[in-house]
Amino acid sequence: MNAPSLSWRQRCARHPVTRWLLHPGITLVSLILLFLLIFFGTLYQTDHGLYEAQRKFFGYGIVLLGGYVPVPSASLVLWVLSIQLVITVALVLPWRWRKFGLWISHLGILSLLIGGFVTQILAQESQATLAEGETANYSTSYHDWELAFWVTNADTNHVVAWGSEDLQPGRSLKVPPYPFEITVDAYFPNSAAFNSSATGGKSAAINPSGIAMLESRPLDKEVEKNTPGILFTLKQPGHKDKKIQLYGLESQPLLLKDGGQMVRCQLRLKHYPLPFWVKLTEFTRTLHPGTDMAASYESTVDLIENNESRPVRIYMNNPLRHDGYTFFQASFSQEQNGTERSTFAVVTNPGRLLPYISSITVFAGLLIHFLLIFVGYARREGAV
Amino acid sequence: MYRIGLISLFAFGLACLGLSSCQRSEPRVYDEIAFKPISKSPLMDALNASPVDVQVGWTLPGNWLMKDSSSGMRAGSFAIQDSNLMNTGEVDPNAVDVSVTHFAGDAGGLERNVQRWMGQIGVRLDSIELSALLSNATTFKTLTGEEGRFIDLTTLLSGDLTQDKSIFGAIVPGDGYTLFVKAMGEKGKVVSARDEVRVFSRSLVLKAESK
Repeated sequence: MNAPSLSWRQRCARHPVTRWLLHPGITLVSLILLFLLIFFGTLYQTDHGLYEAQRKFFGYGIVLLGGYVPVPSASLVLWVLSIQLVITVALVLPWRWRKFGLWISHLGILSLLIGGFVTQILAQESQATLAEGETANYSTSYHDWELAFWVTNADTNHVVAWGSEDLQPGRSLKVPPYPFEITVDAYFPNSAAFNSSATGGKSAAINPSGIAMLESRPLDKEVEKNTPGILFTLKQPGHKDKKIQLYGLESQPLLLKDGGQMVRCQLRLKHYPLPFWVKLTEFTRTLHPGTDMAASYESTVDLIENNESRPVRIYMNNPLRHDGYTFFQASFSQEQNGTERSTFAVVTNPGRLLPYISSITVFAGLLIHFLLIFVGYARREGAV
Repeated sequence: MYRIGLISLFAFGLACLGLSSCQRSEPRVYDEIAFKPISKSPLMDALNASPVDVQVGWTLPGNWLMKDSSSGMRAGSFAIQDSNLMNTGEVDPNAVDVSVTHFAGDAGGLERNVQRWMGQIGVRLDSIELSALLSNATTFKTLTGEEGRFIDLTTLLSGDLTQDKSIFGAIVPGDGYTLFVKAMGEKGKVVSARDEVRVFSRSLVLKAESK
């Protein structure tokens, strides 16, 4: 008899599936799982490195806690909690002024989770290393690799690159506009390279640095120490198929001829193009007296965009923020010939403001909620 | 209505899950600056003006390890490891550093480059001594036939008793470029590595093409 008077929200909220999805047991188990994942992930990180721990415990998949108990990894658990939260906000939370604070705080938590997902999917961390006078309009990944093909026209490289995630054995990949097709024979995320003296003068494939053989190695716990290698077959119309092997530490690219133009090919750390140019004009470092230890160091760069240039100082806690990119002063190096190079950590994260906004929103929501409770209590007390 | 609401919620959840696992199946296409080191030194200017592409191939002696040479201007970068440490898999902190670089033209000339190397280990010679050093330098040929000279600075003393570094290298003038092989490190280790640097230099395969 009462059913027709229920709104669609109320009917949805009372549906058995919704009740099952919002069961407090699921929430409780999810929170316990998150606690365990953080605890065991922290222990795992000491032996296997931060990157591997993040990938295994906080990515998507199943992880064995203590080596025996299979549980979903943190991203999957967070999806479950997010779905519960969305259903709660959409169907369960009552439309009443007294609950206004709860609405605000729930939306704050939701935006915190959305911020986490945005960061997980879209945030990008890389680095740029420059000597004084050098200019760059790209940054380089710390540990993601690409097989890049490019032609240089004047001062610009036109690059076509396949990321290492696409370099799966047996896969055929085209490199438009160049008339090449490659078939991946083997890709080693970490490898060692050997010269022909180690192979008795034989070579498995063409290589620009005299490498005769690549061999797979176990992954290092510090992901930056892994050096990949690739063996692929290059098909080019009108040419015989070529076996090519490339190693991540090679400094010179392989030269391939395409008619009159020269196409370069290299297995290298991923390059990320920037929408502006950065030129290092000055790098200064101050040493602790009597030592070679740097007390402080800073860089002055020219930020060049639309043919306009402005100088910016980058030092500890004073990064360059521009167009969604943040350049932090990260480190420096000195070559044998005395040339100093400044290294910047380059971070872009469309969701970087969401945690701040979410925290303020949750705080404001709870404040409003407690004030409303207090006002209600005071009124009742007054009435008594 | 409530069914539509429920279906929408599930569809939203599935879409979010699907989006989070999206994979790119196209190559990335982008333009970047053709990165060229810039410096006030004539050597670097010569590099920037290089009209040729030089490809360098080599055969590495057994205990040489390839190092990262992606930054800077090296065509190759190696560490000559202590063979005892190498067998144990440890990294030799005092390994001799070997660099292979090439510059356009004569890169400032043989004399000037040898003086530059001497400056790096704090050695000075007058012009007569320098001429004697260069005229006594032994010559060799690479696998592709370019004639080069070995420059041995391990016999030179700076007069500074704390001097502990030295250089043994090779300079190969090519067609439109000059190639340098430089082994630098603790003097005793560089002396021991001289034969390996000679073998390495003779194994060089050089190909130069006009840009």
